[in-house]
This record gives sequence, structure tokens and C-alpha cells, in this order.
Amino acid sequence: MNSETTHRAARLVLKGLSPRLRPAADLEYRDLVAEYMADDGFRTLVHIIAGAFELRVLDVSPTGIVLVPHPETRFATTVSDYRARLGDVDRGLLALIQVAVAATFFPTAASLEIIDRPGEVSVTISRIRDNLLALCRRLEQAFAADPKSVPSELREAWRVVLERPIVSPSLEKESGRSRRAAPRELDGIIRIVLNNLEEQGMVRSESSRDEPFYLPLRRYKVQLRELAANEVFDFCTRLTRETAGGTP
Amino acid sequence: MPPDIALTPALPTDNDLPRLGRHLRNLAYAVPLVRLAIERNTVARPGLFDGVDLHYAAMALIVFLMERRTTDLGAQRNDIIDYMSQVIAAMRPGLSGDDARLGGELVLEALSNRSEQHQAFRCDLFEPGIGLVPHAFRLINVAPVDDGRVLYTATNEAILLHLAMLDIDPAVAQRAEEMMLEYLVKSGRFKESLDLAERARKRSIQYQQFIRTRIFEARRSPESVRWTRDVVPELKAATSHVLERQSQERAILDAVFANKEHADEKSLPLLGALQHLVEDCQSRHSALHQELMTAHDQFLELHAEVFRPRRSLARHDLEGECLSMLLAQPILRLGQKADELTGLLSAPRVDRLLCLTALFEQLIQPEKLGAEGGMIGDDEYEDLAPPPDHFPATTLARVETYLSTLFASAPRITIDEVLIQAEADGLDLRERRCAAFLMLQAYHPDENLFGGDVHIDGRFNLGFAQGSRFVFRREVNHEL
Repeated sequence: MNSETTHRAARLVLKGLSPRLRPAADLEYRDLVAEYMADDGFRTLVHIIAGAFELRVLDVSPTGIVLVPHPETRFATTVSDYRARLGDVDRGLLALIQVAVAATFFPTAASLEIIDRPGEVSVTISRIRDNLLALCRRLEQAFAADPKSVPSELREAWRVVLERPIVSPSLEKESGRSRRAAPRELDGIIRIVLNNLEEQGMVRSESSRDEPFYLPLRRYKVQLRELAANEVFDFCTRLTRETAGGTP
Repeated sequence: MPPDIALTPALPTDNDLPRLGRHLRNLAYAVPLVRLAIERNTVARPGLFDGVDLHYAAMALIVFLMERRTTDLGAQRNDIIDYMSQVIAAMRPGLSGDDARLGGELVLEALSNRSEQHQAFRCDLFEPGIGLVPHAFRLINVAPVDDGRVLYTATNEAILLHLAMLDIDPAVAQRAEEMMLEYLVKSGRFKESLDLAERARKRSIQYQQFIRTRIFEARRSPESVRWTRDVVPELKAATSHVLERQSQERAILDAVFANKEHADEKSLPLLGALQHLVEDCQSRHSALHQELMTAHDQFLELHAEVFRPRRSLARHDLEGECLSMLLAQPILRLGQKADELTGLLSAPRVDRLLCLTALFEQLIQPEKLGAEGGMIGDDEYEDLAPPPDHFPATTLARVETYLSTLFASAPRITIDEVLIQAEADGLDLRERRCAAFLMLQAYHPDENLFGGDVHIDGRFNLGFAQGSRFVFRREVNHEL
């Protein structure tokens, strides 16, 4: 491998760190993707360079390279990248809603089977919120017979979701003034997540008569199918085990 | 005594029952259109669709999407709504522009199943021997394309619907019509042949769309198609069909040219129009032929992608398993582990501080705390109230009246002369400043409240106001 090839391999990794870049609009990117697909040596080099930056190459297709950082490394996105200075409750809600968004797009493993579909399923903020609230109400009914009060440190996520206003009542009173949702509202948190996903090139919004709707992009689907769906499940089982065993 | 025999008709067996699968499927494609027409007063405010044939509007939308697909990958929402508002307005000329757009948008939403997250329409169709068989279909697809646009396309089901709900293969229909067209041209029946040529042009659009959709689907989803078994034969058949069409079109054009040589004045324009239509089909088929040729190479390029070993596929349901488990967790525990989940569900973080401009912007942003200690971010910005007017409305009105009167009485006056006169007439400083602004504003023809000509002649300085010395000249009516 000469230095020029190494340079090109590093360029492809760099392109992957700007997730909104598209090969369709960038000739160099398009050539690099083609080289990746055609040349085994180049492919290996891209993987080595990405690995050195603690990144995994999840997918390379004509729509671009999908890189995913190893947990807790330099390029790993954290809650503070979505919204700074949140308390633990809000951080928990924000993480939960990221899963709720993904689950509204793709509720089942089967719905993630085909990555490239001619027509996509869309979601709206209200659809995500309604799905989430329906799940929480089911849990509420299941625990209705349990009269004991839950200490604050053990308050389950579903209780917090149900308590959280959809739109802040104090702000709702400001009739006649358009305003955007705040993070202390359920709709506000959903919007924060969707806006960030759009900035990351994971979803695309489309305006509509009543409220905008969002469509998943290939990167998002690939990441969910090939990594997140399984690892989120592992995370959930680990957390459940730890909570039950009282592990910090 | 007659024999006591009760004759009851034999129950039909599954074999006796008619096979209506294709008919039912084609019928189902029309259901969203029928539903829209029936629910015309519930999907929209009552009266909006009065006088509007919603079946026509829906079919016009499908035709528009099909036509658009021949020149692009699909149509954008705004273009569709622009077009549909014209369709609606043509049926109800009195409708306002906004209502026509709303009507168009509602038709688009109904056909793309917007209320159900753009999912496929679903129905159960009876199949003898099997029972109810679930069937899913879409009429309009909405999806982001590689260049970042969100595009709408008509599906093959919508094309079948356009073929008058008859499951005619577009290729067969096209071939039959072209043969008929050639016959009509050769026998000199130009008027009839013109109608048929227009239908042939529409068929060529349908076929082009039909094949392009197939290629597009296979290209976007290489793992979902069986290359040698499904795609290669389809491409071969399409190529052979297109070559046949091109040869047929050449024959029709030959017949047109042969007739043109001895055509009379009445026939000549018909032949010209006919030639134009056939040439349009010809260019569509040439473009399609080119696409079919390159499709093969493009599939091969994706070959490596198709057979690339996948890391793993999703084995768990995000809603039924993951989200349900998370909801039962203590929120504080979830908050402590939130970064781990976020990393799994996000793209790599791009450090914005690497960019100097972004760094500068970051540094000059004041940090504010929200009511609950959280940062106030973009989502919490409220509308900026416009600054109050510099001069109260009463002052403005009074000064405007004063100036109008003064201008009416003086055929030529300068800005400084006006201001001196205003002081003499008792206008206070604020009012004189207001007058100065109004006169400066009058330099622009669109803002000239006084009429007449304004030009500059040097500068003036009166202490409280200074600038270009405007000369106002009232227009003089020279008519006697």
C-alpha cells in the first residue's frame, strides 16, 4: 500500500465523520466508495484507519460510509450533544425517547429486514408520543393493583413519562404566539431527538399540512438493523439484571 | 303419490368457485380513491370539495407522477401541490388559491396513506380453498433519494389502476396500439390515428415508468431480488420490447413521411402532429434503451454489496422488547446510563469546535439557564417582538398632513426650506425629525407619499438633521 492509497482511505473515513455528506453530491466521495467496493486492499485499509480512531465500519454503499464509534470514545455521541446540562431524570427521558423514536419507525425486527424500500414509513411527533403514552398506560394498568408508593430513586420511566406534560401548561396559555417546544415537555424532547437525528443525517423531515413528518434515511436503518436493535436489547437486559440485583 | 324428494342445490366446492384474485386486487387499488370521494366532507371541511370530482383529481395525480417519473426520479411535494391546486381550481374556479392547495394536499395525503404513516394499504381478499388472504399495496411511494430530496412516485399498482382497472400488461397494450396505428396511417385515416398516437404516447410513458420503477427497486434493494432468476430475464424482455417498439415507430414514421409527400392541406397538420407524437415516443424509448443497457453494469457494481457478509441482523423487536423493558426501569438509572444508549442510536459526534467560525459563534453565545436548571436552547427561543415604531402613529399622521399641505402650496421646495418652515409653524423637534425621515424616504419612488419629482442638489445641515439636499417639484398639469 502506498501513501496515496492510505491518504484516500483516510479521506473516506473523514467523509464518514460528516454523516450528512452524500456521494451523490461529492465526486471524490463517490470515487472512494467505488474503490472501497472494488478493491479488497483498500477496504482493509479503511477498516484499519477507522479502527485506529475507535470507529467501526458498519456499511459502505452508494449512499455513503456508515461509521459507528465504540462506546465512550472520542467520537461517541452523548446526551450532552443533544442537550447540555440536563439532570438525570431528563437524561433518562431523552435516552428513552431515542428508543421510542426508533421503535415507532421500526417496531419489529422484521420491519428492519429490508433496508432499501421504494416507499418509507413516516413518523410524526404526535405519532411517537401517542405510541409511547399507549405503552406507558398499559404499564400503568398492570401496576394499578399495586398500592405502595414508589420511592423517587426507583420511580420507573413510564410513571415519569405519564407525569410529563405533552405541552407545558404555562406556555400553552400564551395563545396567539407561535413558539417551539421546550425540553420539559414530552413533545419538546421528541422534537429535540428528531432535530438531532436530522442533523446527523439519520432522518429527513418533510413539511406537511398539519405537522411535519420524518422519514428514515439508509444510515439510520443500517445502524438500527446491524447494531443498535441487538445492542439496545442487550443494554436493556443488563440494566434489568443490575436493577433487580441492586448493582450500581 | 309423487315421490317425496327434496331437491337442494349442491354446495359449490372450492373448484366450482370462480378465481377472482386479480380482479379483487385491481378493485382494491381503487378503494382509497372511492374512500376519499365518500369521505369528502370528513377529510376536509364540509363544502371544500363541492363540485370537485375527486376520482378525477386522484387519477390526475397518478398521471402527473407517472409523467414526472419519466424525467426525474419522482416529484417533490411542492410541485405536486402546485399541480393539484390547478386541477382542483379547474373543477372549481371560484376556490381561493389556499383552498385549492389544501384540496390538492388532501388528495395527495389520501393516496399516499399519510394518516397511517405512509404505510401500505391493507385488505383481505378471498381466495377459494385458502380463505382470506391479506394483501398490501401502495399507490404512491414517498422516500428520500440519494441527493437528499424527498420524492413521491406512483407505484405499479397505481399504473394498473390508471389502465382503467384492467390488468393489461402495458407492453401488450402498447404493441397492439402501435400495430393499429401503423394500419391507420397506411390506410390514410389520420384523424383516428392521431387519437391513437396520443394513447400510444401515454402507453410509452406508462411502460417507461413501469420499467424504471422495477429497475429502481432492484437497484435500491439488491438483497431483495434474485439477480439471475428475476432481474436478468426482465431486463432482456424489456430490451427486446423496446427494440421492437423502436422498429415499429420507425415503420409508422416511414408511413407518415410517405403520406406527407402527397398530403392535402387538411391532412398535413394532422400528419405533422402525428409525427411529433411518434417522435416523442421514439425519444422516450431511446432513453429507456440506454437505461436498460447501463442497468446491467450498475447491478454488477452492486454485486459486491449484495454478497458482503452482514455483521448481524436485528433479532429483537424495538417496541415489544426493548422499549417495554426500558419503561419499567427506574428513570434515574436510565439517566445514569443514557450516554451508552445515545451512542448506539446516533451518528458519530462531529466536534463543531474544530471549525473557527463555529468556535467564534460558540464563544459569543451567552449561556442561559432555564427555569429547571436546563440550558435554554434553540427549541426554547420565543418570537422576537418587533421593536416599537420610532414615531407614534399620531405624530406620523400629523406630519404627513402638514407636509402634504405644504407641498400642495409650493411648486418647488427643498428639504431644508420645509424644515425651517415647519419650525416656524410650531412643529416640535420630534415632529421635525419625523418630517426629515419622511422626506428622505420620499426619495424612493415606491415610498414617495407626495407625488412629483425629487432630485438632489448638494447637502444641507440644520443641526438636528443633515444629509442630501432634496428638491421637491410638484408635477404641473400643462393641459389647459
